[in-house]
Amino acid sequence: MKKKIPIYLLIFIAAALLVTGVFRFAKDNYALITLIMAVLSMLPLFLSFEKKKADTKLLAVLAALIAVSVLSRFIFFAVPFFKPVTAMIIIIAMYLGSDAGFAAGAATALISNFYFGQGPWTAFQMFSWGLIGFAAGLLAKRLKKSTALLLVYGALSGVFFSLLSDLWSVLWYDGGFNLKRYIALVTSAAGITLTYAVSNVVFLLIMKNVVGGAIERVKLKYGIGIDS
Amino acid sequence: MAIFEIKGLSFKYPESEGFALKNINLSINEGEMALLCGVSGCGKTTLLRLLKKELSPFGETHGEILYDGAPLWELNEKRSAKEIGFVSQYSDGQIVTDKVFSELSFGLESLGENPQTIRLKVGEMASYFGIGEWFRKNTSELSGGQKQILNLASVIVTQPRVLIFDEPTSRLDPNSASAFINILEKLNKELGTTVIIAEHRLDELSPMADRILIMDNGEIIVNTSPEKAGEALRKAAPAHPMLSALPAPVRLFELLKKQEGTNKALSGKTPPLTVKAAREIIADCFAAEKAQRAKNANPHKDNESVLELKDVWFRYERDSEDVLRGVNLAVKKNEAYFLLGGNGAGKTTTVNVAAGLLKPYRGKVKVKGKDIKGYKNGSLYKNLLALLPQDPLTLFLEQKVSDDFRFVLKNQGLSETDCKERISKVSEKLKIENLLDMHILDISGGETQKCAIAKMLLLSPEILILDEPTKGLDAAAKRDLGMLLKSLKSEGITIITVTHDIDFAAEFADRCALLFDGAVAAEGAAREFFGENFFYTTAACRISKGFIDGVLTVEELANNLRLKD
Amino acid sequence: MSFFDSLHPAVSLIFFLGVIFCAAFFINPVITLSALLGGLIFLCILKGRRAFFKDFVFILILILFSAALNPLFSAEGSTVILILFGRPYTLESLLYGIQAGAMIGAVLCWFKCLSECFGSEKYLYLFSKALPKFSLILTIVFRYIPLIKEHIGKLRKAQKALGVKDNSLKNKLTLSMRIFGSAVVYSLESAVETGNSMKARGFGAANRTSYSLFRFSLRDAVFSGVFFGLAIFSAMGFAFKGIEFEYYPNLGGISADTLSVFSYLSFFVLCLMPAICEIKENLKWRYLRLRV
Repeated sequence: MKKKIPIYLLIFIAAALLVTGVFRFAKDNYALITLIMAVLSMLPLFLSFEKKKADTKLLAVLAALIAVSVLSRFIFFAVPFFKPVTAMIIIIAMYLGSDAGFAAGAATALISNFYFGQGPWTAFQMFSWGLIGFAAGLLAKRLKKSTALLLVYGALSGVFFSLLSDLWSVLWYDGGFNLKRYIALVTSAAGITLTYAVSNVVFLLIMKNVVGGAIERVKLKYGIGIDS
Repeated sequence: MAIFEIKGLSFKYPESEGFALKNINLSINEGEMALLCGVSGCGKTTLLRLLKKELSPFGETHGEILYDGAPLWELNEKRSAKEIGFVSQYSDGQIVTDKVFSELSFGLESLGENPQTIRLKVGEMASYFGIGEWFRKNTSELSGGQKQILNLASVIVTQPRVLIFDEPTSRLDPNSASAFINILEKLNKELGTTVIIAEHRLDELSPMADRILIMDNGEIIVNTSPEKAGEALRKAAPAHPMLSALPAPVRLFELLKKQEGTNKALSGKTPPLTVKAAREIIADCFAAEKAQRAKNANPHKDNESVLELKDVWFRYERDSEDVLRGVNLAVKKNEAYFLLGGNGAGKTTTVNVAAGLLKPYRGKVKVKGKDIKGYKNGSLYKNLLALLPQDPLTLFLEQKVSDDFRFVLKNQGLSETDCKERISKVSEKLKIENLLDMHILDISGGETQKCAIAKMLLLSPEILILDEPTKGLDAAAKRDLGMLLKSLKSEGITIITVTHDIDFAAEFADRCALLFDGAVAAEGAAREFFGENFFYTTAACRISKGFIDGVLTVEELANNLRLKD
Repeated sequence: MSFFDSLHPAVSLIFFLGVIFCAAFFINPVITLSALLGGLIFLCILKGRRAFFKDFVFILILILFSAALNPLFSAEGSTVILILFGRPYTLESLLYGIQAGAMIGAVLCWFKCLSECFGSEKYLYLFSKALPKFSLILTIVFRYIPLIKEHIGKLRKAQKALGVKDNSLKNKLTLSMRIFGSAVVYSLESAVETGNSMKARGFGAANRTSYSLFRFSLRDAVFSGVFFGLAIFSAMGFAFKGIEFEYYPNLGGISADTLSVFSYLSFFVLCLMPAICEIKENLKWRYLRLRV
């Protein structure tokens, strides 16, 4: 523990400096502010993930599922934007909990961009997918019970993901919020948003039982997540 | 001093009726090498996992296990991780990280060693195991043998006192397996590490082991030195399937003892464990009976060729090296054709080309006299040719065995009733009815292999190609498989088998070919083929060299030896 | 291996993040142009001329598009050059389009450089300090991606040899989905073995330390010294003189006093540092080879 405190302290100081710096030098720079807010809001989630003592099998299973969700971005490469990634993250969260859901979202974004290209969007994808996973974990019980709710959640996640990335694009480009450009971007990207939502619904429908069943099976067979 | 002391240990899995382990009493001494064997399902894995606290299965336990004089479950986590190492047969699953060096350091990092110490120990370990050359590689780029050596090295890096192995070489080819076993011997002899190992490769391990433990149905029925194991097992269970799995010299000795009048001559001899020792005993006491070589001309040699490869050249990438350099072979109808060869000789590539999965850049492949290119839209795989891949699990996409069978038949356009009929016919023949409703991952290796062959048979092929079908099987399961192949042959199916397993080939092949450097180097009827080889032949043949020619099995050898006057 | 590849990950990451931060968030033509120029040269050295050309054309098109389209969305600015569809098309808006395009181009360019000489093992190393568990997960993911990929390949081959149809789109999708499901089951089963292996080797038994092959060397110290020096010089100018460049409603000016010039110059050199280091390294090798 002795070593860990200074690291968190350093992170805190760096964050504080950044925030004051931003207000001093670029108080109208909403892109920067939102970026910092996104990063900062991920910190407690990361820390809570770090703190929880988890079974090693659970960690390995989570990692394997993240690998699958990264790969799923490749498997269906033929159809642009029609990807099962969000559906995978939601399912992981439903069966392994909100911390795992967050980690799955953040890690999928980070790792798949090693193959698709890193950029400023990485932080936002980590944020969006992480949040989608985290919330799905909190709602796990209800999502498992009602398929309709699950599909609605999937569709909304697609919309949320798309709107958020558009929002940041506009903020970054103009250094402030330009409603006209935002509307133009959202309407021109409506097709993509729709594809996201539809693909989430479709893949949730198909994969809910395949992936969910597989997770349940190993959990039962090897007593994962059940305290001995 | 005993490092493990097991007293009255019984164990029962939560869902099962009977006990998996029954009243086991055993003590393992520090520095000992104990070899644990038995047919699969006899409880070896359960026993080994109970010795490693972190891997102990859930269930009902009676009796106690003492480690270093104190109960094992009181052993603290750090000491347990450091002092007791465990390596299983799943070389892929055990690797945690993406880089070789981080895999090596994983244990030390977990135990909280400081980076300086880790640097030192990792360096030492890498040099000792000859890992230097692939130290910075990705773990996914390693060969099966290298992966298993890495697993061993990353366990040894914490300097354990005991190493527990659960069939560590059962998925390796013979060369890598030997390399692995040699390292084990070195660790045991040079560092005095206690080794407890479950393995099928008794031929190689017996000479170096201090003790053999044979398990049967949850009990230890033999616990003695390797020399005495044959006799002890025969006394404990006269018809035990493990008798046929003992090392060839031991089996030979047991057979010779059964012969009339040999008792006196052999009573003073130590039972042999190596080819060398067996030859000495033969030279001392026996003479060969008039060599009457059983005739073994290939009965199918005049049949038509059903599968021909003519001057086939293949490489994986445009700029890579040739893997096949002019392979020529012709498999006759109804023949059991075995393709042998070392690692990287191109065996798997050859059968993949023969099965139309890879396209040669030069040369021709003909199936039943017709160019393979002429078979369009999967017609090659419809009632004609089937390939069993190295990993039989890859054939199954559905979870339940019967669902999977149904899918593949429906895909061929069969009706529901036809499906049912065919499935019940095939599963009756292979005696797998009880597996049909199970999850494919919950059944044993031998049974998975059977289900896989059943799946091939559903498509009623005329040509069946098997890639390393004996991988990971124990002696009993291998024998089962061999008998199954024989019965398939009697139905007129042509069988092509790729294998490393010389004994299996010697017993079940009509004709063998040795692939070397991407081409067929030698080919002949099984008996000629192995009779003429020097290294690449059965242990019985190696024992008999100079006394009798052309003997392939221990039984034949014993039958042809008579006591010297 | 480039010079930057061999730098300590902490040093090179701070450098990259610093430059990218300035390039992304300071709306100032001098800063943007410095970053764009430095990034382009660096990228050209890292990727070779041919591969670089494609990226260069892409960035050029991006800037042109941005310039052409921006005035359509933003009618701010006082100098109207033409009226399009009844809307004013202003010079300021056009220039801001160029500025924004160049800014995005510069950031993309530096991110591409980052990918070229900052592999996953460096991220893992840095993460393992602050987020050990998350970084371990990432490591296992990197281990599993090739493993699962290979397994999927085997599954495909086995299915082909079974004559499973994949001729129509529907059959293709069904097969893909079944293979996907099977791969999930396989990877979970394998993961349990991995979890066992982790536990058997003491994961969770003590406070984890971390080992890596990276060492902080003299060249790291020298590089960071120069980098921090230049960074402080430029920050001084930015702090005292301000860096915001006004585009709307009228173009602002760039201050040309000594401090400002000095700080812009420092930033320009800072952006060129990687290029200078790489060229120096190349020359050294050429020289060494000549001597042999």
